[in-house]
Amino acid sequence: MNRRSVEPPSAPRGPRRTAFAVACCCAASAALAILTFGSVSLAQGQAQPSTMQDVVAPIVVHHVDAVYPPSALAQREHADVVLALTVDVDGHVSKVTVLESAAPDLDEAAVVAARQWTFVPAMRGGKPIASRIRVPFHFAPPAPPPEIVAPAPPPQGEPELPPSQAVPQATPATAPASPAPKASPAEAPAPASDIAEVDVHGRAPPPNVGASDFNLRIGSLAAVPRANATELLKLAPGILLTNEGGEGHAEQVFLRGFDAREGQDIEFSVGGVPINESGNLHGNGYADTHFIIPELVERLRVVEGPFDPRQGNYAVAGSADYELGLEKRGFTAKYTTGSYGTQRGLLLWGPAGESQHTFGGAEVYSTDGFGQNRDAVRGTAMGQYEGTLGARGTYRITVQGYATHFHSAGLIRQDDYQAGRIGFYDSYDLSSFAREQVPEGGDSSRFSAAADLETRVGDTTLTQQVFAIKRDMRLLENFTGFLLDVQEPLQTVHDQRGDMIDLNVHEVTLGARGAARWHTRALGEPQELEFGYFIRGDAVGGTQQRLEASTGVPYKTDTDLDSQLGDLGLYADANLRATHWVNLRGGVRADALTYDVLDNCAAQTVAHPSTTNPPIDQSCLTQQDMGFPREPNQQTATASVAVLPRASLLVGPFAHFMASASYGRGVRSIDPSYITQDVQTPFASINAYEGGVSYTGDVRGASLVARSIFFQTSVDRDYIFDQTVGRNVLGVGTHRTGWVGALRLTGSFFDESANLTLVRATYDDTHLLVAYIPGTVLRSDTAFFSELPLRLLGSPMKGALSLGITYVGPRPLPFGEESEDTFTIDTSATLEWKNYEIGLVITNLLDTKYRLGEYNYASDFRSTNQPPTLVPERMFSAGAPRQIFATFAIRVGGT
Amino acid sequence: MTPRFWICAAAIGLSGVACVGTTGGELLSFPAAAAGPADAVTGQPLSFVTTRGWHVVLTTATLHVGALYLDQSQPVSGSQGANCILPGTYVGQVTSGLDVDLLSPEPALFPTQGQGTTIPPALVGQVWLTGGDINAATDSTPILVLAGTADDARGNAFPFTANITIDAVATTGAAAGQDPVCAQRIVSVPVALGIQTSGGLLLRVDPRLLFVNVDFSQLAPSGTGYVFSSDPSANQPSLNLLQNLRSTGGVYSFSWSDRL
Repeated sequence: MNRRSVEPPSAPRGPRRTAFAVACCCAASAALAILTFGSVSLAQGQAQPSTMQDVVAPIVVHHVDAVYPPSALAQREHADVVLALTVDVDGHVSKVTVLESAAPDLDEAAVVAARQWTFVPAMRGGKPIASRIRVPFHFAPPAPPPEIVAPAPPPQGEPELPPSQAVPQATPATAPASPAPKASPAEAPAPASDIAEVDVHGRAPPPNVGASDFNLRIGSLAAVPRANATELLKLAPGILLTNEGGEGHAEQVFLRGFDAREGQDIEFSVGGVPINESGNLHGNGYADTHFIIPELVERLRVVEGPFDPRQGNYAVAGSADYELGLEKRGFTAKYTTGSYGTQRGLLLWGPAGESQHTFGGAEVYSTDGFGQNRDAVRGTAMGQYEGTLGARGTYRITVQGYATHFHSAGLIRQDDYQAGRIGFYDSYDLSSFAREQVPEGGDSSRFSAAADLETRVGDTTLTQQVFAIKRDMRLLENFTGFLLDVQEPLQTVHDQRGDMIDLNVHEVTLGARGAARWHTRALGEPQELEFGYFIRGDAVGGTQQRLEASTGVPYKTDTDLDSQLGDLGLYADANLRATHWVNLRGGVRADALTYDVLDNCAAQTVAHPSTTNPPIDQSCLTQQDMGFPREPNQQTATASVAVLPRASLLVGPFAHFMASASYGRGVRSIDPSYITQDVQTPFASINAYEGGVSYTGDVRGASLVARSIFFQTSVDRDYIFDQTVGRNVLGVGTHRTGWVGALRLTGSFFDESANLTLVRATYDDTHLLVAYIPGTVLRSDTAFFSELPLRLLGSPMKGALSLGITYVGPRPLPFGEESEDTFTIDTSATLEWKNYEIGLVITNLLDTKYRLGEYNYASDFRSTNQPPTLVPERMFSAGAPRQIFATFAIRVGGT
Repeated sequence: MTPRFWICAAAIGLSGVACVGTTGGELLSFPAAAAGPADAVTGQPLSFVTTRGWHVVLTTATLHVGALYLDQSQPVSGSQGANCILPGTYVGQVTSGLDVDLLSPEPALFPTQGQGTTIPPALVGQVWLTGGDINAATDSTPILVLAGTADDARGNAFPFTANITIDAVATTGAAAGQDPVCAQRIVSVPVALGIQTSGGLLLRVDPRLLFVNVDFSQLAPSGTGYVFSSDPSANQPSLNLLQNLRSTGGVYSFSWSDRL
């Protein structure tokens, strides 16, 4: 029988013990710890099929801890028992075999507990199959010795991590978890054709920090149409994505009442490597995730709020960490073609026998775009190797490269559209009254390399990571047309030259992060304590110029900064249990941010101009001011420290239910252009509170996770978008209050994720609504998959259908206006036969002519020979019309 | 009352709350009109005595207003002067042109409605005296057309006419752009008004104040009368007329009228 590595038997995290006296019954938890740290090759719960294609491991629905047998109390020793469980197609344990024995009574205790476990059965091609998995149990004696040995408690799922999303967790044991041996065939195995042998390895994810901690397994929902990796965020509640800058421009992200712009209020990372760009002129913390190939995203952890001490700078609205992996082994070639000249070629390679976190992927893409000036070309490559450090841990090396050239249609005035002067999907740059020689758009590239390792030394888990990133970006944007460049008194007489912004950013980032997590027991319960650090240094050069419309040459320099930025974060995080159903998690984090900024264009105006020597048209002025000379540049340096307490209390006295209450403080550093010498960096700070309740259980054979969360956040200095400078500027304080409901229902032939967010965001001073924040966001992702009752040339065919539904309620706009609501449906269908797959993807199925983003501000795109329009006017960026794509894929190898 | 009831009730309540509220203000359209002084009599010449003692009888007074704007910015004083386009939010605009009969007290509506927002209140009103592009070097549109007679204390009559256009004038090399043509065509006056959801914007132009400090005796004779020039350097009356045309001293007054 060939060995197969498939997804670990994901278990609800954290032990559940009903009787304090049964403190020793840490078997299941310890087993998970061993799963996490013992064997080494795979990271968080993803399948790694080898000979058996597309085998998805069984997922734990209920687990029961083993009871430390009274007969073993006399010795009070730690012991390990390794079992092989056969999980039948109904998800029940049909057979238990002791692979590694400790003692008869301990073996028996483990077997008794294991027989009570239930699972979502393993899947192959969407069909449940029987499987066999290894489960190590670790027995640790209680302290003090229990007087009463109670039976194991009924299973309680811990809702923070749904079974469908669960991954092995580093749950502490008193004794160091010993490495779990490699899987070997259990005795008397079931027929090989029906049993998937499982080799379980994994890394420890951070502890869940409450109801707003979404550890999202993509799984079969990968079939739902998504244009890029950013759209995976929609699996988390409250996400709205807009984009007025083109396909190479980061999406504007709205998260649970925050306008996070292009990531400035969300800490983005991929495998722990930061994506936010400190010092980016377009917005400090700009985060472009387009370099991520969506097919290589294994899971996504979204924490909505600053509740985890690991969250650093920019974690104001929350954080999102992409975990990469490739489930399907072998070589996959995929070609997509469809509407508007769109073509995409994708090559994926997952070497057989290696971890699913060892992969390579490359993508080339081009499109003419669904309207004027929307074309784009990009190339992407990502590769990762995961190796083992003997039996003690794993290491990964990740490299990535990405480059794109794109154009952008920008925004359209509603009055121009309604008067028929411009089409819904058109661009001013190519319209009949275009005057721009250089259309909007840009270039973007990102190259990075990272290495990390995770290992276990005694009772401590150590992680280390280093990374290097090279990032370049150019953006050409014009949100205001010909509004701003007007004749100034001391300029040479000129005609209107236009407001085109030419923004360039060049950035090098070096950094590291690491942590030590100590596992112990106290009060008869497992306890954890972690200390960690994060450090990054950024060297950023950024310029922003204005281009003359008729020639495309720069006529003015707005900004010219050279910044050296530092960020050092230290944190302590505890995971404490008073009883088996009360869990306090959290700690404190301190971030020190340093700025050293050379402003090469610090002097742009003259306080007291000389009529005999006026500055005329210079942007960056060397001048005489009242007889005192000054140079145009200026160096500024400062630093600040922010202390960020964070805590979550998780209480789960009732089976399947978990209540949580969380508090956290987060910060966002400000743009380097705002700092003043030796004046402490004015962080924007957020205080977030929430209370939630979760349910994790089994509904007619399907695993269900449902959550209800009430939250409130306050920000002392919020960013407000200023179209005249093309980025956010500091504003006043804001408050948000809202509710989130989310569920994930996973069955043997379907997967459903749905969420609803209601939020009200107001300014502290006026109590008026914060503009642009959607009050209602509803999202549903659905996938159905099954083997079809058809056979071709004797081989079965499999089919899958998916549906993505988005509803966004009207958004408040400045000046008392309100945007239109949006409702879109995306769908896909795939048919798989042997190693071939064809698919049909339709986005915006109803061909709704909707507005992706709407704004109210002054602009003037056509005022030649007539007075300009200067009052605020409705602007919008068009959402894509219906697009149809066909996909063809072939996979070879994969054994 | 089960927990489910309370959860549902809270969700429904929050849903309602999420949809209620405003960012403040309102974007709207409004009628706009312009007229001569309120004490003028329709169809009658306007008679008045200037500060220099000239008794003037205006028989024709027409002003071409290219556009009107209202801005929230504080009026700027100082030697540098303000840009043609003001900082801050423009809260109102009327971008269609109108020839205003300055001898009629009856408001004449601009051809198209104005647009604006109810907040914030306007602190600056701008009258754009242009026939088209505010930055065009030349503009042949007659901005101010006048005809009338001025009598001095001794009974000397000076019949006069004016057909004023505003073009770019030469600027000194040292202060290039200090007085750009757009600045010559825009009159910015302090106001204090807020756009309302009913009524309209009314601009009144008092032609009597166009003749402050004008000495008609220095006008250049032309044919049977005297003529104001569009060139401010031509003579004292022309310079003063052009300066008064851009005066913030009461020639132009903005108000919000409930009668429009």
